[in-house]
Parts: sequence; structure tokens; C-alpha cells
Amino acid sequence: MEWYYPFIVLAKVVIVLIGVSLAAYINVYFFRKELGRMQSRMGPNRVGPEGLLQSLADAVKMLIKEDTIPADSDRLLFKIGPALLIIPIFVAFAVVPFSNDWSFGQTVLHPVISNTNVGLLIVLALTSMGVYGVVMGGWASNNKYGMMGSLRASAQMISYEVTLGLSVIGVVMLAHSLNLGDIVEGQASGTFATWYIVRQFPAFIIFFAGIMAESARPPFDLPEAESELVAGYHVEYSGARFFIYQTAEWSAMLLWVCVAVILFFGGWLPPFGALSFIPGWLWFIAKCYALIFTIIWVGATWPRIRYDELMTLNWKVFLPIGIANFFIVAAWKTIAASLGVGV
Amino acid sequence: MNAPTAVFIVLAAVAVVSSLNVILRRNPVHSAIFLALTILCLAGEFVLLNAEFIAATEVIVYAGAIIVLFLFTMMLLDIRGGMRTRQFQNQFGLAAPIAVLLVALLGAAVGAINISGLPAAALSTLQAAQLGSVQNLGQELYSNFLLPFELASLVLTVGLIGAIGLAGHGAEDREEQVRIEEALEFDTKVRAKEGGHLEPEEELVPAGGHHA
Repeated sequence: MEWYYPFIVLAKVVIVLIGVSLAAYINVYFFRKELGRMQSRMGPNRVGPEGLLQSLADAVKMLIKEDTIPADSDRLLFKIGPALLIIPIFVAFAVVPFSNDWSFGQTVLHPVISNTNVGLLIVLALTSMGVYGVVMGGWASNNKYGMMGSLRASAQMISYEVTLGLSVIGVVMLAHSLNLGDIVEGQASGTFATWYIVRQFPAFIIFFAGIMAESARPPFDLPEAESELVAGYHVEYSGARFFIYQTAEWSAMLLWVCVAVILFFGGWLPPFGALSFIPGWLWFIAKCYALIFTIIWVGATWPRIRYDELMTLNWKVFLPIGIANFFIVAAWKTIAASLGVGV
Repeated sequence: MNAPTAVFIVLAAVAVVSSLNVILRRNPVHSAIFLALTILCLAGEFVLLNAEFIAATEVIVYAGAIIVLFLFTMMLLDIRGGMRTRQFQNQFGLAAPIAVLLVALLGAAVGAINISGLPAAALSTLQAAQLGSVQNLGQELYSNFLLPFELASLVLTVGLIGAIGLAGHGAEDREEQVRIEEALEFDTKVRAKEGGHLEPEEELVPAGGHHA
């Protein structure tokens, strides 16, 4: 281990923190502009050229607003609520590999902060911790809309975590690894035909619905359904704390999109061998934005689903499909192994 | 003091303080949050022992699901009422000897282990990391420890079925039926009083109705 190793880790942490926060704000702009186009509106177009600085203006506005705390709230939990949501999500980015290894002469740089063997499980564990921020924020603000929002959020997040975890089992069984970098390398063959979206299509559908439900994107945005709950769990929040909640939600979506690209779209791999002159990190970003566009598209197309439909969809449709997928992959691997065929 | 030892001491200290808070806090929601913090510290200790899989599973199962369900239940209860009641009863006379006995027993048990004589102590760091890997753990669970593993899942299934049995669907259905009958009766009376032109007996009773 070289003497400069801690400094490289520190530099990676700073780059990822800044990159994730910046990407979250680019996403807000992308969302509003794209949603505007789909709904035949202009979208933001006043602040800066083409409204590019709108997100920045909103951030500054939120940071200088008064930070109110309701009179009869649980002050401690109300104050730490936003931190409970944002910390696990930012920590989870530590195990996400953004590109293939970069080599500078003799030294090789891994574009991941912590290359752990159970990366996928760590992402699942940390994102399941995020539910505390949502639940505590709603409960501590002593507001009935906040309370309803946090009850809905906790039920929805726990339910969809189950199917989300089930849908990745097939991928893990095919990749023989829980390391996110190894899962990407398991899809390498020169073309997109071996990406796990092709081999695990039902699992991808479940995973995609799961990440939309986990990050509360429409049509799964019941925890903050504005027409019935005002804003759900963060109804009493204002100023900087509200800003942290918003940042956390957008970075959670970014985290899930990155994981989806790694698990199902071959991460930094090019779709055709002939396109491999484009660097891996560009492919990674391009795939992420293709998925984010799909999320906007689905949200603009479907109306918000009813709460009982949400639960029925998860427990009676996705769960059986996930279990069936798991058994099919296991059976296929056993048969292939007994025939001596590679999978 | 090397880095792992320092991390161990910090995690252990936080775990002890937060587990004390679990029982000393008046507000049960705060207790649950401190319980989650204790679990996180324990997961950190597992990482130091090269058992990353167990650490991640511990966080997913306990912190991510079970304590959230505790919170979910407590949020629906009247916590303010509970906070006014006395938290501790005067049972120190009984509790103190039991606590001393427990500490003595655990101390004796821990003292009896010859740590440097354990087979794991002879392993190098790399071998230890291999030992805690997902592959090895799965292999052991599904071969040498298959029976205890399956028995544990059987216990959980029994608990689940028991909970469903206790929730008692039968009584609820009967109550629902009584409510429907009362509503239908009331409806018929109101319509009869209005002297309306509905001659409703057939119309009001839904298909396969509830009239005895």
C-alpha cells in the first residue's frame, strides 16, 4: 500500500459527493424540462439561458428561507429526520463503480471508493435504512398529513424492498457474485445480447417498478400525493431541511438508476464491440440518462395508482413472478451444469 | 493502537451507550431509533471480523425491516399516554442478584474460551476473509448446518401462522354480516316511511343476500 493511498480515497469521496449533488440538480432541470415538453408546456425558461439556472435559483431560495419547527413536534427527531434519509444514500454511492479501471502507466485507478465483495447487499442494506428518515420526519412533525404520508411511505418501501431484493437474485446467480464490478464483467461478451436485461427481462421489469416505488416517482408517488396529502411526510419542513429532503430523494433515484445500469445494462460496457473507442464512463452516464428519461416518460404517461392497487401489484403480481424467475434460473443452471453447458 | 482496534473501540462505545438509551429513554420511538443505531454498530463489528455478508444481512433484516415495523406499530399508538406512566418498578432487590449472576455466568463462559487456541486464530487475514465469504457461508448453511437452518425457518413459519390464527378472520366476517343486515333493515324502514313507490324487498337485497 502506497503512502498516498488515503489521499486517493479522500479525493474519490470528494469527487463522488460533488458529482452526485451536481447530477441531482441536473436531473431536476432535466425532469422539469422534459415533463414540460411531454405536457406541451415550456418548462423552466426564465433563469439563465433556457432556464438552466432554475435549479440553482430554487436551491438558493430554499437555503435562505426560515427553518420552522412545529410547536408540538418531537424536536430531536424533527431535526435529524432529513439527515437520516440523506446519509445512507450518499454512503451507498461508495460501493458503486462508475467506470472500468483507468491505468496511468504502471498505476491502476479503480473508479469506485470501496470495492467490497458484497456491494449489492450493502446498497440494499443502506437504502433500507433510508426509510427511517421518511418515517421519523412524518411522525415527528405531529401533522396528520405528514403522519399519513410516512405510514404510506414505510408500507410502500418495505413491500417493494421485498420484490426488489427478489428480482436481483437471478442476476446474482448468473453472475456468481455480489460485487457490482464483477456483475458488470459477467455481462461482457462484445454485444448487448449478454446483458442481463436480455436474459432476465421479467426481473428487470420488477426491479424497475421497485426503484420507482422506492424513490417515490409517479405513478408510485403515494407518500407525497399532493392532491390528497398536501406533500406527505415533509409537509411541515421548510428551508434547508426541506432542501435536504429534496436532494436525498433525487440522489436516491440516481443511486437506483446507477445500480440498474450495473445490474441489467452492462454498466460501462459498449453495446457493440465496434463502439468500444468511446470511454466507459461516457457509456455509463448515457445509460443512466436513458433510464432517467424512461422514468420521466412512465411518470408522465400513467396516472397515480390507488393504494390498494399498489399493494396488489406488488404482492400478487411481482412477488409470484419474482419467485418463479428465481426457480427458473436455478433450474436452468442445474440442468446446464449437468449437461456441461456454460450459462 | 492500530486502525481496526480504534474503530472497534469507537463502535463498541457507541453500541453500549445507545443500547443503554434503548432501555432508559422515556419515548419508545427514541428507544427504537437507538436500537437501530446499536444494530448498525454491531454490523460494523462484523465488518471488522471480515463477515461482510452477515453485517449486510443484519442491517437489512433488523434495522431495515424489523425495527421499522416496531416504529410502524408505535406510531399508531398513543405514546403520550404511555410516557406518563412509571417507567421502572421497584424490583431492584430481585433484579440486582439476577444481573450479577448473569454477568458472572457470561464472564465465566467467555473466560473459559482459549481464544488463541481456536482454529480461526491460526488463519491469515486473507484466509479469514475467505472464511466469511458468501460462498463459504452458503455452502456451510446448506450442507453441515442444514437441519438447524430448516428448523429455524420452520419456527418462523409457525409464528407467522400463529399470528394469522390469532388475528381471527372469522369474528370479523360475522360482524360485517351483522352490519350489512342492519343497514338493509334501516334502509327498508326509511323507504317505507317516505311512502315511496319502491316496492323494494327484491331490489334491496343484493344477489345471494344475507337474509337468514
